Parts: sequence; structure tokens; C-alpha cells
Amino acid sequence: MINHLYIDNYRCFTNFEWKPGPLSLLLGDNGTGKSTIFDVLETLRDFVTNPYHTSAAFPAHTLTAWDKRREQTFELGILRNEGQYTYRLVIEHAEDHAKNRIKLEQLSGEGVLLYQFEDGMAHLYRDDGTEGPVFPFDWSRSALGTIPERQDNTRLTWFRRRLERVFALSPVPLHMVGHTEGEIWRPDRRLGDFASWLKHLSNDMAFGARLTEKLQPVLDGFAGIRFKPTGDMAWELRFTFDYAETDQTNGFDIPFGRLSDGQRCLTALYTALLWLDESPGATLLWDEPSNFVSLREIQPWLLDVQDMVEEQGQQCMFISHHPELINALAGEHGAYFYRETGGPVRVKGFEWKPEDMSPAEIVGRGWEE
Amino acid sequence: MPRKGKGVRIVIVAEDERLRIFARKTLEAFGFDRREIYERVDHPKRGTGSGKQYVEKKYVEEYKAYRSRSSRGENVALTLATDADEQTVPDRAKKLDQQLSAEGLQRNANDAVFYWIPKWHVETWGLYLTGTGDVDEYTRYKHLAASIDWRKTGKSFVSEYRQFKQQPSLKTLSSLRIAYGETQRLGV
Repeated sequence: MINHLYIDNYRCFTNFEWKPGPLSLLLGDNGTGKSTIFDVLETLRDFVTNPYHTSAAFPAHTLTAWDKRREQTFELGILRNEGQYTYRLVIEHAEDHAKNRIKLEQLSGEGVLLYQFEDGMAHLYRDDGTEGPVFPFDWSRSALGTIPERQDNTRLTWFRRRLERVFALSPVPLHMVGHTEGEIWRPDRRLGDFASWLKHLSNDMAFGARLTEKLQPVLDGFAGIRFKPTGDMAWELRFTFDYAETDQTNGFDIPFGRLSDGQRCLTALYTALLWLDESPGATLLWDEPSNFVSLREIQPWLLDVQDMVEEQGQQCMFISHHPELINALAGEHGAYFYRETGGPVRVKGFEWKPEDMSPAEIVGRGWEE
Repeated sequence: MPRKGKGVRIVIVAEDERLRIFARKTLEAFGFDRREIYERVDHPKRGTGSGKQYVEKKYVEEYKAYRSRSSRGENVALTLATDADEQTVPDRAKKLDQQLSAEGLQRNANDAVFYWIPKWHVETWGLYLTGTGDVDEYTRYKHLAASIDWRKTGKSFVSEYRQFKQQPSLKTLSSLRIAYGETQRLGV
């Protein structure tokens, strides 16, 4: 579980610290940095696990507008059973902002240093803390993603795999097309490649059956999904429905793209739910899960998520302005983001007493401070 | 018994998250689909001491909603889950009834409105139903919450309830016997 995040000199974050729990609802006005939290987590994930250049991950325009310092600092804490892992990254920008590079990158886990990059040299340490190889590496990329798994670096590689399972979603139904030319194991945030993700997940027959079971009470007449070949290495995702008349049942199927926005989002919600169920220790970040979805559908999905978090240890962070989600989560799991006089972002627990009005009413009136 | 359908059939009003989850899992174990159950989730955090007032306040609101729907012939139900704490279970139930009478209302014998009131707190039932050692209603078990497998409690409640209906046993905890009697209002 991600249990600590520190951001300094990045967009509207200065000396910002947050300790999320297994389930978090990020609340706050527009422009208080909620979505930026997801951006940071995604960026750190991609920086550590992919060949991602510092200039792409931390371009100069991400420096805090009112801050003259040229260093950006990030810290990410992940709890593994009882052992704490901490990743620290310091990015240094040139005076003219034309270039940037890693000043310090460090990973420690369960009380020992596992990796350090400084002055152009990468230092590896074994699980027992003893010093391993030292080698020069590119100042503009993380070497962590390039280190092969070995018997003596299981902690380092665990951290990397754990970070890979941070999924950020913010579906845009208009972008969610049914055409696919392959499979992907992690979708883009807008779910433009949803069909490719679902194709990957559906390789497991049980996954398709479970998704059908979940969607049947949600989509009237829904019978199943199929991928219709449309060429060499090209498929179209289609949804099959049974339209029951008094004396007979008529089956038909339609392309995924012809479902309503809400139906596409519901499909995404339940797909993500089942993915989460099969991904122990994963973190799901969802910006506005209630968008496009009917009010009636929110609670059953949310309760499934809450069960999963409580019983299996997965982690979820949501951003929402929807009253149903706010009432369900804010009292126990609300994190209120705010900015004082347009300055840096701060966060605190959402204060609510049951004798007050509902949390959504409080938020609606701007009384959460 | 509330029929299966698209709309919500049973509303849960509980004084905290633990009781709410217990109530939902038990109803699911009775065969109700999650989508037939609606949970009031605006209850206070556990330990804040205001959960009881919350249940009492919401009871009136939800009872009126229940009467309104059932008078239209809809097969709906209302569950109230609240700890007895230092009170007796009948006294806690009486306190709930008084909320209605203060509004000129009364829970009728055939109303599908039922109380689940564990003595002290829901951990008493949790431990008893999952067979974690000897359990009585004099001891407080709140500190043992983490050792309870809450997934099992609902199923165990249902199985004990069915046995109890066939042959009531005095071995069952007194607060559970009362709860089983209340559960019959659900028509299960």
C-alpha cells in the first residue's frame, strides 16, 4: 500500500506531504491538486519502470511557478506487510531550464539501502544490505528499470513490480472505441485502448465469465462479449444482448462503440473491479468513477470495492465531486485538499460529525474548512 | 420475503461500519443480491459515541419511507443494526420504538422492519458465530475484532437461524435469540 507521498517544487506542490490509507477519497475545490497527485504517481511509476527521460517526465514547466529553486523532490513510501519501502528522487534543472537530470535517486526497503544513484554512478545493494555492483549510468533515466531480477535483489524487484501495478483511470467514453489490434496489460488513463485491455484480460476465460456475471444485472438484457475478427490482427469488441419477447428470445449484438456513454463506463468500472480483484496489492486511482453512471449503480460497485480493500488488501484512491461517493466515503476516508490564498496545496482529514448535515451537503456549501 | 427485482428492497441503517457490513453480509447470505440492498453510509465513525443517536434519528425517516413504499404494495424491508452496549437488548429495542411513538407512529406486527441488536457490540456475535472460543454476554470483546472472520459471520447467522426456527435452543446467546425472532419479520 502506498502510505506516504512527498512532493516539493512540482506544479502547485511545495513541501507537501500526504499519508494515504487503503481507501481514500480526494476532496477539494477545482485546482487544488487532486488530479496532480495521480499525475505524480503515474509519472514516478513510468520513470522507474520504463525508459522514461527526465525531460519528458519532469519538464521545466512542472516547476512551481512562484518558486525560484531548481530542484524538485519526490518521495514515495510503500508498505509491504510490516516492511517500509521508500523511494526518493531529486531532479535538478539547469539555470536556463533547458535541461534537467537526476541529482539523487534512492531506494530503501525494510531497513536497508537497496539502490542509490548519485554523481552519475549507480550503486546496487543486495537484500542483506551489502554493497553490490557500481556502474556509471545515464543522468537522465532511472537505472532501476534496467536491473534484472536476481536471487539477491528480490526487494528491489518487488518494489518495481509493485509500482507497475499502480493503475490510473479517468475514462472518456468518446475515446473508448471497440476496435483493437492487439493486447495491452495496462490501459491508458482515458481508456482509449479499453478494448485492447479487455482482450488481454479475456484471455483468461474465467475473467470473461465473471465480467458477464457482473454486467448482467447492470446492462438490461446483456448476454456476453465477443471479439469479432475484422482483419489480420484486428478485432472489434461486440456486446451480445438477449431481447426477450413474450414467446421468444431474440439475440443480437452491437459494437462496443454503439453502447451509451454510461454503459461503456459501467463496463469499465466492472472490468477494473475484476482486474483489481485479481491483482493483489495493486493500487487503483480513479478520477471521477461516477461520471456518466446512473445514481443507482454507484453503491453496488463501491461496496464491492470496499470489500476488496478490507478483505484482500488492495488500495483505491478516488477523486469525486459526486454526492453519493462523498456521503459513502468522506466521513471515514476523506482527504481534503486545499490551497491557502492560491499558494501551495495542503491536505487534511475531512472533518465531519454525524449531527451535522451530510458530508455532501457540507461540501456543497463549502463548509468543509 | 422481499422479491428479487431491479430496485432496492432492503435498507440497512446501522450505527457504524462494522454493523453495517455485518448486516449486509448476513442479508447476502440469506440470498439477497447486493443490488437489492441499500446501505445508509452516512453513519458516524466508530468510537465517536454518536452512532446510537444516528440510528434513532434515521429510523423515523426510513420508517416513514418504508410505510410509504409498502402501502403501495411494494415488498420492501428495513433493518436496524445497533449495539446494546450496557443496556439490555429489550431496552435498546424499546428506545427505538419510542422514536416512532414520539412521531405518532408504531411498528406493526406484520411490518418487515426488524432490529439486530447484539449485547455489548457486534463482536459478541462475530466471535460466537465463527466459533472462536466460549462466548458469553457478560464479557466485552471489542478488542478481539481483528481476530474475527467477518466473511463467515453472515453465513453462520443464517445457518443458526434456520436451525433455531426448527428447534429453538437455549444454548444460543440471548441477544441472538431475540435477533432470530426479529429476522422472521423478513419472511425468510
